[in-house]
Amino acid sequence: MSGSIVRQSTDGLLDDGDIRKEMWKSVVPIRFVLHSNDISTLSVPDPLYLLIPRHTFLPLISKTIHKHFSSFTALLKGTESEMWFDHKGIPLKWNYPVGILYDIMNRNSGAQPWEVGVHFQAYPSDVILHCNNENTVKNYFVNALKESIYIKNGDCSRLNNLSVVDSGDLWEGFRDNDYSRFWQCNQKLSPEPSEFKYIPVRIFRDKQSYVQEIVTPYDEQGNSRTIGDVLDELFGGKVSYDRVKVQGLRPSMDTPIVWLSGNVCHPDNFLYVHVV
Amino acid sequence: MDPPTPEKSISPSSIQKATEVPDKVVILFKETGSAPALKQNKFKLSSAATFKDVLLFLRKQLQVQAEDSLFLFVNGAFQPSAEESVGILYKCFHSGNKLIVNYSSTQAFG
Repeated sequence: MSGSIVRQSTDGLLDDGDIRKEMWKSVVPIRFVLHSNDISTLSVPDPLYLLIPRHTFLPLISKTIHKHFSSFTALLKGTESEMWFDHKGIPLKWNYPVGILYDIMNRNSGAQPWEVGVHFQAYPSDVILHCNNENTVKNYFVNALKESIYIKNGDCSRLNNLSVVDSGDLWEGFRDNDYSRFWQCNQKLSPEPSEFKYIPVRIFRDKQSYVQEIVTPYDEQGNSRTIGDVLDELFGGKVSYDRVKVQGLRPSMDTPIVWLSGNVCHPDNFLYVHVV
Repeated sequence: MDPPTPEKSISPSSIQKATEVPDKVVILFKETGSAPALKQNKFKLSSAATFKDVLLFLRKQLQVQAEDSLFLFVNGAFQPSAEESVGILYKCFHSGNKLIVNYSSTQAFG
């Protein structure tokens, strides 16, 4: 069948570890500032400058931030669970990857370093999920991973069949920013590219929420569908291509969606697309 | 700069050929383990409802006490986050014309 030949010839180029490693290493420079309402000392604390991995979640780095600011605020009750962050008054959802937060909050400007306010009180429970501890983050991450693996395979058996050691490596590799520890387990979760049921995609068009889509990776002739094809279908040709970003970069619109999914996805295996 | 206003009326879910999301989604609840059974196990919920709404709805139906746990799993596979919408879950995970949600008083799956 000619369709399967096309698939095979593209599959040879589908696995690009160098790109994946570059994506994993990419960071957002952030200037953390304690919000003025929370300062209870005469002196104002210095801002804290950090390079934060794009794929991580804010609670996984909050210890460092807590340590830097805690002596300047009397509001602290000894826990980090009341900490939250904002950009220009808009609360930042901890369950969105840092790189996505940066992209959706800086639609065009891309100012660096990115200024993020730190709060120890008045948690905006109506807009941000509560995060009690690291376990809340783990539970969120693992269930997002289960969703995407379900979309790719049609069930979660590849994830459920991981050994205890592999499951531990998957979470701890992600949490500790350990590329090889994470990826050697993560690669066991996806089928062969030609066997994908659907590609899991999350599309952001505003600051608050995304739309989740399941995308067919190949057309009826067996050819790889490109990100341009997919966006044209989803948005009825209304998206201008120069407004599309993936991982903060503008992808070529003839890039196969299955390649983007395999190499430029977030560790939760969703491909995040930002339409500015 | 905001995108031009006409674009805002474009709803991706209404354009994608794969699945039309109805305004009201049929949810089929299935008990697992020792969880109490429902007299009626099919309900229609708004596609705009969040998964948190689904959890609160089911807790009320089952009259679960505040101190008792109730876990919900889509297709017996994963626990969606509280803010995911019923419409998106239907679009991505429906079977037939309904969304299947298993419930349990313990972490039954995974």
